[in-house]
Amino acid sequence: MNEFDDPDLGRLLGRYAGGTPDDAAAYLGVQRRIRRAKRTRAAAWTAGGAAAMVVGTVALVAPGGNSNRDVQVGDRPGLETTVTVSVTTPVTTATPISVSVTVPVTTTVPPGSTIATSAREAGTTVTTPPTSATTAGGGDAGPATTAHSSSGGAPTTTHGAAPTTVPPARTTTPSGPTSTDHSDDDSGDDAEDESSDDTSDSGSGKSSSGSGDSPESSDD
Amino acid sequence: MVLTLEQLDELNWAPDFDTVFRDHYGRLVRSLTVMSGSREAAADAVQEAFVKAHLKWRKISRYDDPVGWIRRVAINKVRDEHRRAGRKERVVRRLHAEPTAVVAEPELDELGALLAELPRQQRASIALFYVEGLPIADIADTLGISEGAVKFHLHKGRERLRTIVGEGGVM
Repeated sequence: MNEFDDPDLGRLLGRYAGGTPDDAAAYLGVQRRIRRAKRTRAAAWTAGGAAAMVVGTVALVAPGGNSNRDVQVGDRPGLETTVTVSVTTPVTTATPISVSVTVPVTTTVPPGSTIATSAREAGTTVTTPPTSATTAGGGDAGPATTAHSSSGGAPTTTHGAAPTTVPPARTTTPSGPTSTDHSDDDSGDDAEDESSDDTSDSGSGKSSSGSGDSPESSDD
Repeated sequence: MVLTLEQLDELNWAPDFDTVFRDHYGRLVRSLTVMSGSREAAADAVQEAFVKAHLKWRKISRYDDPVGWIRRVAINKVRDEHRRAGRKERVVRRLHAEPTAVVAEPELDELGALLAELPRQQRASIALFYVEGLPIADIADTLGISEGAVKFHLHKGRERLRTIVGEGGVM
């Protein structure tokens, strides 16, 4: 027996509380609530899993943008890592090409013609093969035939201080031709100089390039 | 062969959810009706507590007093609803509108009005002791107060309610 026992008050409060509720109906209501709670929980787990997957993917992908990667070398036997680095660097090199072209020129001067030459440089001479000149009498310069041929393959340039005109002969020999030899020993040197000039001229347009100065492009 | 509770504990026995519901739902709803003043609110709180218990039943069924856990959850639910109703009533009163009866008023009922005036702990102690028939120790454990405090609340509450009983108005 408790000091607070009060049957009258107990009955009064029992009436106020009402009769026993319907357990079956309440149980169905509880089962309905349980199903709804489980659906909500499953949806929350799904959403949470999806969010975790997104975060994990971002965490994995985000460091990929960094090009500076360290190579972890194994610190135990069996963890050695073979790293093969292949670098392909396209190199553009300008190679100078010198071309010397020698064109032999043969000029045939008809007999009786006058060859006008002008000296461009002092000391140059004209190399001419033996010339057959037909000199007419009377002081007039007759037509002369001069055959020029360049020796040594160098381009032939006509040089001379004055037109090559055969002067009147002191002795008239109508029957015999007069031969005038204009050959000069320096002709070969001159041809070589010209040839060398041409060579240097042709080489002046070359593009100089050094292996060290050539631009290199390399792929990083 | 009939096993005692101690023997069932040794066999790692756990109570079945349906059995617990069938045995305690009615009593819980009746005591919480006195506590809250509303049958619907009490039934809703008790059912919500059983739903929570079902979702964790594997763990809760191993407790010493699974019904006590369900009771505490239901009481907390009633208290939350009471606070929410109180705020709503204050707002309605501030707007000079007619207060809506959030909690169903008892039909009679001086007793209901008197219970509504009791402090929360006094009302809960009265309900658990006189309606559900819990011992003072269990009431103290459920409400989280000492047994002396439970006795104090029972004494004070009984004094207030005895005026009605003594007058015989409600009886």
